[in-house]
Amino acid sequence: MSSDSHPAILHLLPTLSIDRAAEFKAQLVEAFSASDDVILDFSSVEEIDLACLQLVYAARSTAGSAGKRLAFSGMPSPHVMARLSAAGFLRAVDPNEDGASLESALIDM
Amino acid sequence: MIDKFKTSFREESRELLAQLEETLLELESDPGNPELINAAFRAIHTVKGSSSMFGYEAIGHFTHDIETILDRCRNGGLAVTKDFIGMALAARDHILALLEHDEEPPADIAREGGILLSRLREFAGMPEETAPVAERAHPPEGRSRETAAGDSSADSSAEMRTFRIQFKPDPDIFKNGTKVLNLIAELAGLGLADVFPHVETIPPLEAADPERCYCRWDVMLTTGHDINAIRDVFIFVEDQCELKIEELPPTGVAEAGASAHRLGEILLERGELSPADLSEALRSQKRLGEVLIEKHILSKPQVASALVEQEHIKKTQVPGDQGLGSVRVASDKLDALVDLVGELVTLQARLTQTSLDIKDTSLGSIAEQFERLIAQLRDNTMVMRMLPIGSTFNKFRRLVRDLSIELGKEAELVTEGAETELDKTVIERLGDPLVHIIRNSIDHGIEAPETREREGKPRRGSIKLAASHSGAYVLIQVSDDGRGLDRDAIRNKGIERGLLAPSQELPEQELYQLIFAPGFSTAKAVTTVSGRGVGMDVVKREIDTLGGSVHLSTRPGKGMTVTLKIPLTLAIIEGLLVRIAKEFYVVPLSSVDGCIEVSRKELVANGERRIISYREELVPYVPLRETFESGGEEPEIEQMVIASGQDSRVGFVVDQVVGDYQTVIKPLGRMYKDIDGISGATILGDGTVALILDVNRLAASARRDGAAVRAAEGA
Repeated sequence: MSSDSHPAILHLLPTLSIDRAAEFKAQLVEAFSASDDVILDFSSVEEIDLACLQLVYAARSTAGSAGKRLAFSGMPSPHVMARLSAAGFLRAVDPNEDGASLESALIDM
Repeated sequence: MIDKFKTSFREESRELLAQLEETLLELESDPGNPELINAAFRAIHTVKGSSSMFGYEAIGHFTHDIETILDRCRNGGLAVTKDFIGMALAARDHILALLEHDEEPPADIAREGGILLSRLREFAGMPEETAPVAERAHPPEGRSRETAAGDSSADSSAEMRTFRIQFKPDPDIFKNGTKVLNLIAELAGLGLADVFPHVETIPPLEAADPERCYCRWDVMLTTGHDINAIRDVFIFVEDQCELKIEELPPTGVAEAGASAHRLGEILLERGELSPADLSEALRSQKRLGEVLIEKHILSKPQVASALVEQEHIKKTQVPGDQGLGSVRVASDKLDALVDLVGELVTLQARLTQTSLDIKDTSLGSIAEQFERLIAQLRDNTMVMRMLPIGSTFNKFRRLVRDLSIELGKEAELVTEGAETELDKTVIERLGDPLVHIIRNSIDHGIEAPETREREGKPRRGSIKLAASHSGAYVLIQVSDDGRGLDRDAIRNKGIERGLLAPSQELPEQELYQLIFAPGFSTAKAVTTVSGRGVGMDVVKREIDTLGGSVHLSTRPGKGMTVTLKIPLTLAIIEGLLVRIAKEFYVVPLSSVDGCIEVSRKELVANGERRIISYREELVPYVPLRETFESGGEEPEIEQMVIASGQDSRVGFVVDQVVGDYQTVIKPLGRMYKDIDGISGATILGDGTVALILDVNRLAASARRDGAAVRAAEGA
């Protein structure tokens, strides 16, 4: 299967927890094989746990090493942002600020 | 050595007792507030602990019982009433008195303490002691200790500690449903936390096991909780993680600014870097973190995490005036420093003068650099002496409370601008005048509660004490919402005392100033309340010697405001140096409005009507040659310095305006201190003395003279 130049958009489920982690990983792998340009849409996400968050980082790492692009769109719920911030995953940017995105706020690997 | 510790103990205890006073006063208006009761308990608890350590047995015994009683309040066993606050305040005063006595306190103080304690015990329903308090060898181990142990969180919140927590969950921690992010959030919620997750260990997607935990955390936490509270967070995952909790030593005075929290040391402490690698890396001129990453000694996240720790320590090290990271210096040492800076300023003026005299440009450039440095040194030294005025505000709250009880009135003190800073000497000398003004407000201004109610005012009067900066001055305002000044009564009293003629009309402000005349205070004013028996003339005199001014404003029936305008510092000011014949004078630069040239002819034509038009205003002027009998010939073109006095402008006729001059104020001797028109002296570069003009007094006398001339002309 050859890679497509159209971005693959992955609309994430409201609840990203350990029981969906395997499924989430499979979706990510599939998206990268389908396109060089993967967009994760977080706008419906209301809950994310460490297992799924790790997979987001893993996807970043894959994109980086394979010369592909991983972008985020949409903001998860304030609850998710607060949780990520408390666990140290967000840079000190105001998530409510205009133009702020999860992509720019999430700390690097 | 011990003496040094004792001095420090006494100083700290005084501060704690000042806090305690404030807390108790707040508690009086908010008796149910558990935070305040806790704060009072902690203050007493600390005084008790350290007093025993330094051998102040009497304080130890006395505070033990107070602590027990406060503890009962804390547990809801005792209601906080006005009576109780009164007794607690008296107890606080007693501890302050005990602090003055190294050994056994004198019999009268000990007796007072005994009486106070038995009143408190009676109030608290505690059994009376059989043995006199002072003779008791060991304080009974009561419930207070048990409570302190049982309630560790409240007790420990007095002291903030910083922990380094390293948390590495086992790879299979997800399997039993542990929500790791929740744990971290809970931990961060314990205090001020900087959380650093290590995500570098997460493999690429293909290799990632979705059910395996790859992350670990370094957390820096500064909290009032103890280590057990931190362990509690991880209690259910104890066997599924590696957890390392270390308490960092408090960043006290000794270590502040020292090398204790350099990046290298943090990494050494964490065991991530060997001393050999550190010294190797330090040899390079680059930043340590960069070198370690470049040389692959450490990973980027390791350095980043250590930097977070460094930042956290910096952040928690400077909690304002908590004293962390600051040094306590005896005030006389600061005074000596200011004196020395003053000498340096004078010497620098001489150096500049000499370089001009011998026309040596290289010396001139050295003198210039020297001048810049001295100016910085002067400013830095002055800043060190600046204290927030709020420290004195607190004692006025107590004053208002005690006075209103004594005089049967109801009044509360509202303060504003407590953070306004001014020179410590000025603050010290402001104490008495403010006491008088506030006393006056409660005694004469605030009406009895019933009267106030009749007049549609709230029963409780309000006294507002506000401070703010205004250029080189600080404005301190005391306002009340009482009955205000009675114009007619002041006028009648003034006529009765011969301070003004029955036919004489005075502008409002001048009429009000009469209340500052010596002996003007009514007999009622000299109440036993202050115990000093002095009137408002003391206020005026003290503010005058501070180089400040007093302004009154009032609305009958609505209250009055006393405004004190006080210079920021008394030690060194910017001045304008002027010359008349061979004499030099300094006009404080902060009051100078401008300089104009006037011709001799114009002044002669004015004759005795010494008034000149300046910016469309008629300004009276003072020919200083005449005032100070300087002699010599007047030049054809003279200079006039226009200065602002308290209420009006005044012009000073001089021969020459030399320029600005850093003026180290030297007090005049006792013989000369009452000379009208002069507020001090300074020493010039060539060693001669220049007098500093008292602009307020000169302006007032120019105004009086002008009025007299006009009256004579009119007659």
